[in-house]
Amino acid sequence: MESRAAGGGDYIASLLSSAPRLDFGVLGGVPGMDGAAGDGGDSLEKFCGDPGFAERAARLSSFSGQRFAGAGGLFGLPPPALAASNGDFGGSREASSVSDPASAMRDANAKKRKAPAAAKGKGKEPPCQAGEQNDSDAKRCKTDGGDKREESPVKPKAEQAGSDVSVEDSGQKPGKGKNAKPVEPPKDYVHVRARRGQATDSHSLAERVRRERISQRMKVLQDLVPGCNKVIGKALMLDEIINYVQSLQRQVEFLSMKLATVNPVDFSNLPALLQKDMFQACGPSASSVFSLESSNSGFPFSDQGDVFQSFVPNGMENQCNLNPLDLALSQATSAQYAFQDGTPSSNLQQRNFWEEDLPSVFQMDNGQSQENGVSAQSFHGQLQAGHMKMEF
Amino acid sequence: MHAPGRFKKAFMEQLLLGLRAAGQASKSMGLRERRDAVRLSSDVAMALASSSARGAPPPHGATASWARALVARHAAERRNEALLRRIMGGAGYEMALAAAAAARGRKDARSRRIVRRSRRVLSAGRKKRTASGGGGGGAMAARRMVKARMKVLRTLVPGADGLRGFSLLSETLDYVACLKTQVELLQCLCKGSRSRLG
Repeated sequence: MESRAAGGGDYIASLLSSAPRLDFGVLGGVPGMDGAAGDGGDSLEKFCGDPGFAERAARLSSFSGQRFAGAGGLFGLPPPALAASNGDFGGSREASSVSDPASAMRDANAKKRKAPAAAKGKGKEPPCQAGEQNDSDAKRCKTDGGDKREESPVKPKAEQAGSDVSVEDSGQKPGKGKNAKPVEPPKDYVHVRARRGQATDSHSLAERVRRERISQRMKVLQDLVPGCNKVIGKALMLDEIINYVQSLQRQVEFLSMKLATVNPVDFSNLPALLQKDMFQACGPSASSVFSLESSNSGFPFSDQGDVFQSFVPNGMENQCNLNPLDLALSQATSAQYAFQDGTPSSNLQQRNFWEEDLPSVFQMDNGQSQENGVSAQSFHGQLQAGHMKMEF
Repeated sequence: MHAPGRFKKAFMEQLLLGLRAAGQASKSMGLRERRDAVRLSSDVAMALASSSARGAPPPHGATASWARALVARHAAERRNEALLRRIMGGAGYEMALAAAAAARGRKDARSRRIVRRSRRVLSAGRKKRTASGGGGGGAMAARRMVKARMKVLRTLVPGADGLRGFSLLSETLDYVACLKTQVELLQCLCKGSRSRLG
Protein backbone atom coordinates (compact mmCIF):
# COMPACT_ATOMS: atom_id res chain seq x y z
CA MET A 1 0.00 0.00 0.00
CA GLU A 2 2.80 2.32 0.77
CA SER A 3 4.50 1.68 -2.51
CA ARG A 4 1.28 2.32 -4.24
CA ALA A 5 0.90 5.55 -2.50
CA ALA A 6 4.36 6.54 -3.50
CA GLY A 7 3.52 5.79 -7.09
CA GLY A 8 0.44 6.88 -8.85
CA GLY A 9 -1.45 7.89 -5.85
CA ASP A 10 1.00 10.51 -4.88
CA TYR A 11 -0.85 13.38 -6.35
CA ILE A 12 -4.14 12.06 -5.29
CA ALA A 13 -2.92 11.39 -1.82
CA SER A 14 -1.56 14.84 -1.57
CA LEU A 15 -4.73 16.16 -3.02
CA LEU A 16 -6.85 14.45 -0.48
CA SER A 17 -4.64 14.39 2.50
CA SER A 18 -5.93 17.75 3.38
CA ALA A 19 -9.24 16.10 4.00
CA PRO A 20 -8.53 14.19 7.17
CA ARG A 21 -6.99 17.13 8.85
CA LEU A 22 -9.99 19.17 8.07
CA ASP A 23 -12.11 16.34 9.25
CA PHE A 24 -10.57 16.60 12.60
CA GLY A 25 -12.33 19.72 13.48
CA VAL A 26 -9.65 22.06 12.44
CA LEU A 27 -12.44 22.62 10.04
CA GLY A 28 -13.97 24.97 12.48
CA GLY A 29 -10.89 27.04 12.25
CA VAL A 30 -10.14 26.95 8.61
CA PRO A 31 -13.39 28.28 7.31
CA GLY A 32 -13.48 30.62 10.20
CA MET A 33 -10.23 31.97 8.99
CA ASP A 34 -11.48 32.07 5.49
CA GLY A 35 -14.68 33.71 6.45
CA ALA A 36 -12.99 36.21 8.61
CA ALA A 37 -10.47 36.94 6.01
CA GLY A 38 -13.16 37.16 3.44
CA ASP A 39 -15.07 39.88 5.11
CA GLY A 40 -12.47 41.41 7.30
CA GLY A 41 -13.29 44.73 8.71
CA ASP A 42 -10.72 46.71 6.89
CA SER A 43 -11.64 47.03 3.29
CA LEU A 44 -8.04 46.74 2.42
CA GLU A 45 -8.39 43.27 3.76
CA LYS A 46 -11.03 42.76 1.18
CA PHE A 47 -8.47 43.39 -1.43
CA CYS A 48 -6.19 41.15 0.45
CA GLY A 49 -8.93 38.59 0.37
CA ASP A 50 -7.76 37.61 -3.00
CA PRO A 51 -4.10 37.76 -2.25
CA GLY A 52 -4.97 36.05 0.95
CA PHE A 53 -6.10 33.22 -1.19
CA ALA A 54 -2.54 32.50 -2.05
CA GLU A 55 -1.50 32.72 1.56
CA ARG A 56 -4.29 30.56 2.75
CA ALA A 57 -3.69 28.17 -0.03
CA ALA A 58 -0.17 27.78 1.10
CA ARG A 59 -1.26 27.36 4.64
CA LEU A 60 -3.77 24.75 3.73
CA SER A 61 -1.31 23.04 1.56
CA SER A 62 0.82 22.70 4.62
CA PHE A 63 -1.66 20.14 5.76
CA SER A 64 -0.60 17.85 3.05
CA GLY A 65 2.85 17.73 4.43
CA GLN A 66 4.14 20.17 1.89
CA ARG A 67 3.84 17.87 -0.99
CA PHE A 68 2.42 20.75 -2.90
CA ALA A 69 5.83 22.16 -2.86
CA GLY A 70 6.87 19.28 -5.01
CA ALA A 71 3.89 19.95 -7.20
CA GLY A 72 5.57 23.03 -8.33
CA GLY A 73 4.49 25.37 -5.67
CA LEU A 74 0.93 25.26 -6.69
CA PHE A 75 0.09 28.46 -5.02
CA GLY A 76 3.43 30.00 -5.45
CA LEU A 77 4.42 30.35 -1.84
CA PRO A 78 7.54 28.87 -0.39
CA PRO A 79 7.02 25.88 1.83
CA PRO A 80 9.42 26.93 4.55
CA ALA A 81 7.17 29.80 5.28
CA LEU A 82 4.51 27.34 6.20
CA ALA A 83 6.54 25.39 8.67
CA ALA A 84 5.36 27.55 11.52
CA SER A 85 1.77 27.46 10.51
CA ASN A 86 1.96 23.74 10.06
CA GLY A 87 2.77 23.27 13.68
CA ASP A 88 -0.07 25.49 14.68
CA PHE A 89 -2.64 23.87 12.54
CA GLY A 90 -1.53 20.36 13.00
CA GLY A 91 -1.56 20.59 16.71
CA SER A 92 -4.71 22.41 17.50
CA ARG A 93 -8.10 20.98 17.12
CA GLU A 94 -10.08 23.84 18.46
CA ALA A 95 -11.62 26.34 16.16
CA SER A 96 -10.66 29.18 18.36
CA SER A 97 -7.08 28.23 18.74
CA VAL A 98 -6.74 27.70 15.04
CA SER A 99 -8.38 30.89 14.05
CA ASP A 100 -6.11 32.80 16.32
CA PRO A 101 -2.85 31.94 14.66
CA ALA A 102 -4.71 32.09 11.39
CA SER A 103 -5.92 35.57 12.05
CA ALA A 104 -2.56 36.51 13.40
CA MET A 105 -0.97 35.29 10.23
CA ARG A 106 -3.60 36.99 8.22
CA ASP A 107 -2.93 40.24 9.96
CA ALA A 108 0.75 39.79 9.53
CA ASN A 109 0.23 39.11 5.90
CA ALA A 110 -2.03 42.06 5.56
CA LYS A 111 0.52 44.23 7.21
CA LYS A 112 3.17 42.80 4.97
CA ARG A 113 1.05 43.65 2.03
CA LYS A 114 0.29 47.10 3.18
CA ALA A 115 3.90 47.82 3.89
CA PRO A 116 5.13 46.82 0.47
CA ALA A 117 2.34 48.80 -1.07
CA ALA A 118 3.37 51.82 0.87
CA ALA A 119 6.98 51.08 0.20
CA LYS A 120 6.24 50.83 -3.42
CA GLY A 121 4.60 54.17 -3.33
CA LYS A 122 7.55 55.58 -1.49
CA GLY A 123 9.93 53.92 -3.82
CA LYS A 124 8.23 55.48 -6.74
CA GLU A 125 8.60 58.94 -5.41
CA PRO A 126 12.38 59.26 -5.38
CA PRO A 127 12.69 58.79 -9.10
CA CYS A 128 10.15 61.49 -9.53
CA GLN A 129 12.07 63.76 -7.35
CA ALA A 130 14.68 64.03 -9.99
CA GLY A 131 12.05 66.00 -11.73
CA GLU A 132 12.09 63.96 -14.83
CA GLN A 133 8.81 63.52 -16.43
CA ASN A 134 9.66 60.49 -18.37
CA ASP A 135 9.63 56.79 -17.80
CA SER A 136 9.42 56.34 -14.07
CA ASP A 137 6.99 59.12 -13.60
CA ALA A 138 5.18 58.19 -16.70
CA LYS A 139 5.00 54.66 -15.52
CA ARG A 140 3.09 55.77 -12.56
CA CYS A 141 0.99 58.13 -14.54
CA LYS A 142 0.32 55.51 -17.09
CA THR A 143 -1.49 53.42 -14.56
CA ASP A 144 -3.66 56.40 -14.07
CA GLY A 145 -4.07 56.90 -17.72
CA GLY A 146 -4.90 53.31 -18.20
CA ASP A 147 -7.50 53.26 -15.53
CA LYS A 148 -8.94 56.66 -15.40
CA ARG A 149 -10.19 56.47 -18.83
CA GLU A 150 -13.59 57.39 -17.70
CA GLU A 151 -12.36 60.71 -16.42
CA SER A 152 -10.97 62.40 -19.46
CA PRO A 153 -9.45 60.35 -22.15
CA VAL A 154 -8.73 63.31 -24.27
CA LYS A 155 -6.80 65.20 -21.67
CA PRO A 156 -3.56 66.31 -23.21
CA LYS A 157 -0.64 64.43 -21.94
CA ALA A 158 1.25 67.45 -20.79
CA GLU A 159 -1.52 68.64 -18.65
CA GLN A 160 -2.05 65.27 -17.13
CA ALA A 161 1.58 64.81 -16.44
CA GLY A 162 1.67 68.26 -15.02
CA SER A 163 -1.11 67.61 -12.62
CA ASP A 164 0.43 64.37 -11.53
CA VAL A 165 3.76 65.93 -11.04
CA SER A 166 2.26 68.71 -9.05
CA VAL A 167 0.65 66.11 -6.89
CA GLU A 168 3.87 64.28 -6.37
CA ASP A 169 6.15 67.24 -6.16
CA SER A 170 4.32 68.77 -3.31
CA GLY A 171 4.66 65.47 -1.64
CA GLN A 172 8.32 65.22 -2.11
CA LYS A 173 9.56 68.52 -0.94
CA PRO A 174 8.25 68.56 2.59
CA GLY A 175 8.99 65.00 3.53
CA LYS A 176 9.66 62.52 0.89
CA GLY A 177 8.28 59.19 1.83
CA LYS A 178 6.86 60.33 5.10
CA ASN A 179 3.85 58.27 5.43
CA ALA A 180 2.83 59.24 8.87
CA LYS A 181 0.96 62.43 8.36
CA PRO A 182 -2.59 61.58 9.29
CA VAL A 183 -4.23 63.85 6.82
CA GLU A 184 -6.73 61.31 5.85
CA PRO A 185 -10.24 62.20 5.02
CA PRO A 186 -12.32 59.10 5.54
CA LYS A 187 -13.23 58.37 1.98
CA ASP A 188 -16.36 56.32 1.96
CA TYR A 189 -15.02 53.00 3.02
CA VAL A 190 -11.37 53.11 2.15
CA HIS A 191 -9.07 54.78 4.55
CA VAL A 192 -6.15 56.08 2.66
CA ARG A 193 -3.26 57.55 4.47
CA ALA A 194 -2.47 60.66 2.59
CA ARG A 195 1.17 61.39 2.36
CA ARG A 196 2.44 64.52 3.89
CA GLY A 197 1.70 67.58 1.96
CA GLN A 198 0.07 65.76 -0.88
CA ALA A 199 -3.11 66.93 -2.40
CA THR A 200 -6.02 65.41 -0.63
CA ASP A 201 -8.79 66.20 -2.97
CA SER A 202 -11.00 63.37 -3.90
CA HIS A 203 -9.55 62.92 -7.35
CA SER A 204 -5.99 62.29 -6.42
CA LEU A 205 -7.05 60.16 -3.53
CA ALA A 206 -9.14 58.07 -5.81
CA GLU A 207 -6.24 57.82 -8.15
CA ARG A 208 -3.96 56.74 -5.43
CA VAL A 209 -6.43 54.21 -4.15
CA ARG A 210 -6.82 52.75 -7.57
CA ARG A 211 -3.13 52.67 -8.13
CA GLU A 212 -2.57 50.88 -4.89
CA ARG A 213 -5.25 48.40 -5.64
CA ILE A 214 -3.74 47.72 -8.99
CA SER A 215 -0.29 47.34 -7.59
CA GLN A 216 -1.63 44.96 -5.00
CA ARG A 217 -3.19 42.87 -7.65
CA MET A 218 -0.01 42.90 -9.61
CA LYS A 219 1.82 41.72 -6.58
CA VAL A 220 -0.48 38.84 -6.07
CA LEU A 221 -0.21 37.96 -9.70
CA GLN A 222 3.50 38.09 -9.31
CA ASP A 223 3.31 35.54 -6.58
CA LEU A 224 1.01 33.39 -8.54
CA VAL A 225 2.85 33.36 -11.78
CA PRO A 226 6.24 31.78 -11.45
CA GLY A 227 9.06 33.73 -12.85
CA CYS A 228 7.36 37.05 -12.50
CA ASN A 229 9.55 38.11 -9.64
CA LYS A 230 12.47 38.91 -11.83
CA VAL A 231 10.59 41.33 -13.99
CA ILE A 232 9.71 44.73 -12.86
CA GLY A 233 7.23 46.84 -14.61
CA LYS A 234 3.71 46.38 -15.67
CA ALA A 235 4.24 45.62 -19.30
CA LEU A 236 6.80 42.93 -18.76
CA MET A 237 4.84 41.35 -15.99
CA LEU A 238 1.79 41.30 -18.15
CA ASP A 239 3.90 39.64 -20.78
CA GLU A 240 4.83 36.91 -18.36
CA ILE A 241 1.28 36.51 -17.23
CA ILE A 242 0.07 36.19 -20.78
CA ASN A 243 2.67 33.59 -21.55
CA TYR A 244 1.77 31.71 -18.45
CA VAL A 245 -1.92 31.71 -19.18
CA GLN A 246 -1.27 30.52 -22.69
CA SER A 247 0.98 27.77 -21.51
CA LEU A 248 -1.55 26.67 -18.94
CA GLN A 249 -4.26 26.54 -21.50
CA ARG A 250 -2.07 24.52 -23.80
CA GLN A 251 -1.29 22.20 -20.94
CA VAL A 252 -4.96 21.70 -20.28
CA GLU A 253 -5.51 20.82 -23.89
CA PHE A 254 -2.67 18.42 -23.89
CA LEU A 255 -3.73 16.77 -20.69
CA SER A 256 -7.29 16.46 -21.81
CA MET A 257 -6.05 14.82 -24.96
CA LYS A 258 -4.06 12.47 -22.84
CA LEU A 259 -7.03 11.70 -20.69
CA ALA A 260 -9.09 11.12 -23.75
CA THR A 261 -6.79 8.37 -24.83
CA VAL A 262 -7.78 6.54 -21.73
CA ASN A 263 -10.45 4.11 -22.50
CA PRO A 264 -13.67 5.87 -21.67
CA VAL A 265 -14.96 2.75 -20.02
CA ASP A 266 -12.36 3.39 -17.40
CA PHE A 267 -14.11 6.53 -16.40
CA SER A 268 -16.62 4.53 -14.51
CA ASN A 269 -13.94 2.54 -12.82
CA LEU A 270 -11.84 5.52 -12.11
CA PRO A 271 -13.47 6.66 -8.92
CA ALA A 272 -13.42 3.21 -7.48
CA LEU A 273 -9.83 2.82 -8.45
CA LEU A 274 -8.89 6.15 -7.04
CA GLN A 275 -10.62 5.30 -3.89
CA LYS A 276 -8.03 2.80 -2.95
CA ASP A 277 -5.47 5.52 -2.93
CA MET A 278 -7.75 7.73 -1.03
CA PHE A 279 -8.01 5.11 1.62
CA GLN A 280 -4.45 5.74 2.53
CA ALA A 281 -4.78 9.44 2.30
CA CYS A 282 -7.81 9.88 4.46
CA GLY A 283 -7.01 7.77 7.41
CA PRO A 284 -9.73 7.68 10.01
CA SER A 285 -12.53 8.57 7.70
CA ALA A 286 -11.62 5.66 5.52
CA SER A 287 -12.95 3.16 7.97
CA SER A 288 -16.36 4.69 7.89
CA VAL A 289 -16.08 4.89 4.15
CA PHE A 290 -15.55 1.24 3.87
CA SER A 291 -18.23 0.43 6.29
CA LEU A 292 -20.49 2.40 4.08
CA GLU A 293 -19.21 0.57 1.12
CA SER A 294 -20.17 -2.72 2.59
CA SER A 295 -23.66 -1.62 3.30
CA ASN A 296 -25.50 -1.14 0.12
CA SER A 297 -28.19 1.22 1.13
CA GLY A 298 -29.06 4.20 3.15
CA PHE A 299 -25.77 5.88 3.85
CA PRO A 300 -25.57 7.50 7.21
CA PHE A 301 -23.81 10.38 5.56
CA SER A 302 -23.29 12.01 8.83
CA ASP A 303 -19.70 12.93 8.25
CA GLN A 304 -19.19 12.51 4.63
CA GLY A 305 -22.67 12.97 3.44
CA ASP A 306 -22.23 16.64 3.23
CA VAL A 307 -20.67 16.42 -0.13
CA PHE A 308 -23.65 18.26 -1.34
CA GLN A 309 -24.16 20.27 1.70
CA SER A 310 -21.07 22.17 1.12
CA PHE A 311 -22.82 23.60 -1.82
CA VAL A 312 -25.89 24.36 0.09
CA PRO A 313 -26.24 27.93 1.28
CA ASN A 314 -24.71 27.31 4.56
CA GLY A 315 -21.79 25.25 3.55
CA MET A 316 -18.78 26.81 5.04
CA GLU A 317 -16.95 23.76 6.08
CA ASN A 318 -14.85 21.56 4.00
CA GLN A 319 -14.89 17.88 4.36
CA CYS A 320 -13.69 14.72 2.87
CA ASN A 321 -15.93 15.08 -0.06
CA LEU A 322 -14.24 12.90 -2.47
CA ASN A 323 -14.66 9.70 -0.61
CA PRO A 324 -18.38 9.56 -0.29
CA LEU A 325 -18.74 10.83 -3.79
CA ASP A 326 -16.75 8.07 -5.27
CA LEU A 327 -18.33 5.76 -2.89
CA ALA A 328 -21.64 6.81 -4.24
CA LEU A 329 -20.40 6.48 -7.74
CA SER A 330 -19.04 3.06 -7.29
CA GLN A 331 -22.01 1.93 -5.40
CA ALA A 332 -24.51 3.33 -7.75
CA THR A 333 -23.37 1.08 -10.45
CA SER A 334 -25.05 -1.62 -8.52
CA ALA A 335 -27.93 0.29 -7.09
CA GLN A 336 -30.89 1.88 -8.66
CA TYR A 337 -32.57 4.82 -7.14
CA ALA A 338 -35.20 7.20 -8.15
CA PHE A 339 -33.48 10.36 -9.08
CA GLN A 340 -36.32 12.72 -9.35
CA ASP A 341 -35.66 13.89 -5.88
CA GLY A 342 -32.57 15.66 -6.82
CA THR A 343 -34.14 17.66 -9.55
CA PRO A 344 -35.88 20.47 -7.76
CA SER A 345 -33.03 21.19 -5.45
CA SER A 346 -30.51 21.08 -8.21
CA ASN A 347 -32.49 23.49 -10.31
CA LEU A 348 -32.62 25.91 -7.50
CA GLN A 349 -28.94 25.61 -6.94
CA GLN A 350 -28.00 26.06 -10.52
CA ARG A 351 -30.08 29.14 -10.65
CA ASN A 352 -27.97 30.43 -7.86
CA PHE A 353 -24.89 29.90 -9.89
CA TRP A 354 -26.21 31.93 -12.69
CA GLU A 355 -27.55 34.62 -10.46
CA GLU A 356 -24.31 35.08 -8.68
CA ASP A 357 -25.99 34.22 -5.54
CA LEU A 358 -25.03 31.05 -3.86
CA PRO A 359 -22.61 28.27 -4.57
CA SER A 360 -24.39 24.95 -4.74
CA VAL A 361 -24.43 24.14 -8.38
CA PHE A 362 -22.76 20.93 -7.67
CA GLN A 363 -26.11 19.35 -7.23
CA MET A 364 -26.21 19.08 -10.94
CA ASP A 365 -29.40 17.99 -12.36
CA ASN A 366 -28.50 14.39 -12.23
CA GLY A 367 -31.77 13.20 -13.48
CA GLN A 368 -30.05 11.36 -16.21
CA SER A 369 -27.48 9.44 -14.35
CA GLN A 370 -28.51 7.06 -11.74
CA GLU A 371 -25.40 7.14 -9.69
CA ASN A 372 -26.02 10.66 -8.79
CA GLY A 373 -29.47 9.74 -7.84
CA VAL A 374 -27.97 8.02 -4.89
CA SER A 375 -26.44 11.10 -3.52
CA ALA A 376 -29.35 13.17 -4.59
CA GLN A 377 -31.62 11.03 -2.60
CA SER A 378 -29.47 11.11 0.44
CA PHE A 379 -29.07 14.80 0.08
CA HIS A 380 -32.75 15.17 -0.18
CA GLY A 381 -33.19 13.06 2.85
CA GLN A 382 -30.96 15.28 4.81
CA LEU A 383 -32.66 18.28 3.42
CA GLN A 384 -35.73 17.03 5.06
CA ALA A 385 -33.84 16.43 8.20
CA GLY A 386 -34.09 20.13 8.52
CA HIS A 387 -30.62 21.31 9.13
CA MET A 388 -28.08 22.04 6.60
CA LYS A 389 -25.00 22.15 8.62
CA MET A 390 -22.39 19.58 8.71
CA GLU A 391 -21.82 17.48 11.69
CA PHE A 392 -18.86 15.59 12.73
CA MET B 1 -11.82 34.18 -1.76
CA HIS B 2 -12.41 30.52 -1.87
CA ALA B 3 -10.41 28.10 0.12
CA PRO B 4 -8.26 26.20 -2.28
CA GLY B 5 -8.73 22.84 -0.62
CA ARG B 6 -12.45 23.08 -0.92
CA PHE B 7 -12.18 24.30 -4.42
CA LYS B 8 -9.99 21.43 -5.36
CA LYS B 9 -12.35 18.94 -3.91
CA ALA B 10 -15.36 20.42 -5.52
CA PHE B 11 -13.48 20.58 -8.74
CA MET B 12 -12.39 16.99 -8.55
CA GLU B 13 -15.83 15.75 -7.79
CA GLN B 14 -17.40 17.70 -10.51
CA LEU B 15 -14.71 16.62 -12.86
CA LEU B 16 -15.22 12.97 -12.13
CA LEU B 17 -18.91 13.22 -12.61
CA GLY B 18 -18.51 15.16 -15.78
CA LEU B 19 -16.01 12.71 -17.10
CA ARG B 20 -18.27 9.90 -16.30
CA ALA B 21 -21.07 11.59 -18.15
CA ALA B 22 -18.75 12.23 -21.03
CA GLY B 23 -17.62 8.67 -20.99
CA GLN B 24 -21.14 7.47 -21.23
CA ALA B 25 -21.84 9.67 -24.14
CA SER B 26 -18.75 9.15 -26.12
CA LYS B 27 -18.43 5.46 -26.48
CA SER B 28 -17.83 5.74 -30.16
CA MET B 29 -16.35 9.16 -30.65
CA GLY B 30 -13.05 9.83 -32.19
CA LEU B 31 -10.09 10.97 -30.24
CA ARG B 32 -10.57 14.62 -30.89
CA GLU B 33 -14.15 14.55 -29.87
CA ARG B 34 -13.27 12.75 -26.73
CA ARG B 35 -10.62 15.29 -26.02
CA ASP B 36 -13.11 18.07 -26.49
CA ALA B 37 -15.53 16.34 -24.23
CA VAL B 38 -12.89 15.99 -21.58
CA ARG B 39 -11.92 19.59 -21.89
CA LEU B 40 -15.50 20.68 -21.73
CA SER B 41 -16.25 18.70 -18.67
CA SER B 42 -13.15 19.94 -16.94
CA ASP B 43 -13.96 23.52 -17.79
CA VAL B 44 -17.47 23.15 -16.54
CA ALA B 45 -16.17 21.48 -13.45
CA MET B 46 -13.82 24.34 -12.86
CA ALA B 47 -16.50 26.93 -13.34
CA LEU B 48 -19.01 25.26 -11.10
CA ALA B 49 -16.53 24.43 -8.43
CA SER B 50 -15.15 27.91 -8.35
CA SER B 51 -18.57 29.39 -7.91
CA SER B 52 -19.46 27.00 -5.20
CA ALA B 53 -16.23 27.32 -3.34
CA ARG B 54 -16.33 31.04 -3.58
CA GLY B 55 -19.97 31.44 -2.83
CA ALA B 56 -20.08 30.98 0.88
CA PRO B 57 -17.16 32.86 2.37
CA PRO B 58 -16.94 36.10 0.42
CA PRO B 59 -19.80 38.51 0.08
CA HIS B 60 -22.30 38.31 -2.66
CA GLY B 61 -21.67 39.23 -6.19
CA ALA B 62 -18.24 37.75 -6.08
CA THR B 63 -18.86 35.16 -8.71
CA ALA B 64 -16.19 35.42 -11.29
CA SER B 65 -17.52 36.33 -14.65
CA TRP B 66 -14.97 34.13 -16.32
CA ALA B 67 -16.71 31.06 -15.00
CA ARG B 68 -20.01 31.94 -16.53
CA ALA B 69 -18.43 33.09 -19.73
CA LEU B 70 -16.47 29.89 -19.98
CA VAL B 71 -19.52 27.74 -19.64
CA ALA B 72 -21.40 30.01 -22.00
CA ARG B 73 -18.64 29.66 -24.52
CA HIS B 74 -18.99 25.93 -24.41
CA ALA B 75 -22.73 26.10 -24.53
CA ALA B 76 -22.63 28.17 -27.65
CA GLU B 77 -21.46 25.22 -29.67
CA ARG B 78 -24.31 23.05 -30.61
CA ARG B 79 -22.48 19.79 -30.56
CA ASN B 80 -21.81 20.10 -26.87
CA GLU B 81 -25.44 20.37 -26.11
CA ALA B 82 -26.04 16.78 -25.11
CA LEU B 83 -23.09 16.53 -22.84
CA LEU B 84 -23.73 19.87 -21.25
CA ARG B 85 -27.29 19.00 -20.66
CA ARG B 86 -26.27 15.88 -18.96
CA ILE B 87 -23.71 17.52 -16.75
CA MET B 88 -25.55 20.62 -15.81
CA GLY B 89 -29.09 19.61 -16.24
CA GLY B 90 -31.53 21.06 -18.67
CA ALA B 91 -32.15 24.15 -16.63
CA GLY B 92 -28.48 24.86 -16.29
CA TYR B 93 -27.98 24.42 -19.96
CA GLU B 94 -30.73 26.87 -20.73
CA MET B 95 -29.13 29.37 -18.45
CA ALA B 96 -25.82 28.82 -20.13
CA LEU B 97 -27.42 29.53 -23.47
CA ALA B 98 -29.00 32.65 -22.11
CA ALA B 99 -25.67 33.79 -20.77
CA ALA B 100 -24.06 33.14 -24.12
CA ALA B 101 -26.69 35.18 -25.90
CA ALA B 102 -26.35 37.99 -23.42
CA ALA B 103 -22.61 37.97 -23.78
CA ARG B 104 -22.87 38.18 -27.52
CA GLY B 105 -25.25 41.10 -27.27
CA ARG B 106 -22.99 42.86 -24.88
CA LYS B 107 -20.04 42.26 -27.05
CA ASP B 108 -21.68 43.85 -30.05
CA ALA B 109 -22.64 46.94 -28.16
CA ARG B 110 -19.23 47.12 -26.62
CA SER B 111 -17.39 46.71 -29.85
CA ARG B 112 -19.38 49.52 -31.35
CA ARG B 113 -18.58 51.71 -28.42
CA ILE B 114 -14.95 50.81 -28.65
CA VAL B 115 -14.81 51.68 -32.30
CA ARG B 116 -16.39 55.00 -31.64
CA ARG B 117 -14.11 55.74 -28.77
CA SER B 118 -11.04 54.65 -30.58
CA ARG B 119 -11.86 56.94 -33.43
CA ARG B 120 -12.16 59.80 -31.02
CA VAL B 121 -9.01 58.90 -29.18
CA LEU B 122 -7.13 58.44 -32.38
CA SER B 123 -7.89 61.88 -33.56
CA ALA B 124 -7.00 63.27 -30.19
CA GLY B 125 -3.99 61.08 -29.86
CA ARG B 126 -2.47 62.48 -32.94
CA LYS B 127 -2.61 65.84 -31.35
CA LYS B 128 -1.16 64.38 -28.19
CA ARG B 129 1.72 62.76 -29.88
CA THR B 130 2.79 65.77 -31.79
CA ALA B 131 2.59 67.82 -28.65
CA SER B 132 4.51 65.57 -26.30
CA GLY B 133 7.24 64.49 -28.61
CA GLY B 134 10.39 63.27 -26.96
CA GLY B 135 9.87 63.28 -23.21
CA GLY B 136 6.45 61.85 -23.36
CA GLY B 137 7.37 59.38 -26.03
CA GLY B 138 8.64 56.84 -23.57
CA ALA B 139 5.55 57.15 -21.46
CA MET B 140 3.33 56.79 -24.43
CA ALA B 141 5.18 53.71 -25.57
CA ALA B 142 4.93 52.13 -22.15
CA ARG B 143 1.29 52.92 -21.94
CA ARG B 144 0.66 51.55 -25.37
CA MET B 145 2.53 48.39 -24.50
CA VAL B 146 0.46 47.88 -21.42
CA LYS B 147 -2.71 48.57 -23.32
CA ALA B 148 -1.77 46.08 -25.98
CA ARG B 149 -1.05 43.44 -23.41
CA MET B 150 -4.31 44.09 -21.67
CA LYS B 151 -6.01 43.57 -24.95
CA VAL B 152 -4.30 40.24 -25.39
CA LEU B 153 -5.25 39.30 -21.88
CA ARG B 154 -8.81 40.06 -22.65
CA THR B 155 -8.79 37.60 -25.47
CA LEU B 156 -7.21 34.98 -23.31
CA VAL B 157 -9.34 35.20 -20.23
CA PRO B 158 -12.91 34.27 -20.95
CA GLY B 159 -15.52 36.79 -20.12
CA ALA B 160 -13.08 39.55 -19.48
CA ASP B 161 -14.00 41.50 -22.51
CA GLY B 162 -15.44 44.59 -20.97
CA LEU B 163 -13.18 44.79 -18.03
CA ARG B 164 -10.54 47.36 -17.46
CA GLY B 165 -7.56 47.67 -15.27
CA PHE B 166 -8.26 46.45 -11.81
CA SER B 167 -11.14 44.14 -12.58
CA LEU B 168 -9.27 42.66 -15.47
CA LEU B 169 -6.40 41.82 -13.19
CA SER B 170 -8.82 40.38 -10.69
CA GLU B 171 -10.36 38.11 -13.23
CA THR B 172 -6.99 37.11 -14.51
CA LEU B 173 -5.92 36.25 -11.04
CA ASP B 174 -8.89 34.02 -10.44
CA TYR B 175 -8.57 32.46 -13.80
CA VAL B 176 -4.90 31.74 -13.40
CA ALA B 177 -5.44 30.15 -10.04
CA CYS B 178 -8.21 27.96 -11.36
CA LEU B 179 -6.24 27.04 -14.43
CA LYS B 180 -3.40 25.92 -12.26
CA THR B 181 -5.75 23.76 -10.26
CA GLN B 182 -7.23 22.39 -13.38
CA VAL B 183 -3.86 21.38 -14.71
CA GLU B 184 -2.94 19.78 -11.46
CA LEU B 185 -6.11 17.81 -11.23
CA LEU B 186 -5.90 16.65 -14.79
CA GLN B 187 -2.35 15.53 -14.21
CA CYS B 188 -3.43 13.73 -11.14
CA LEU B 189 -6.14 11.94 -13.02
CA CYS B 190 -3.76 11.05 -15.76
CA LYS B 191 -1.31 9.60 -13.34
CA GLY B 192 -4.00 7.76 -11.54
CA SER B 193 -5.43 6.21 -14.61
CA ARG B 194 -2.04 5.43 -16.00
CA SER B 195 -0.97 3.63 -12.91
CA ARG B 196 -4.04 1.50 -13.23
CA LEU B 197 -3.57 0.65 -16.83
CA GLY B 198 0.16 0.41 -16.93
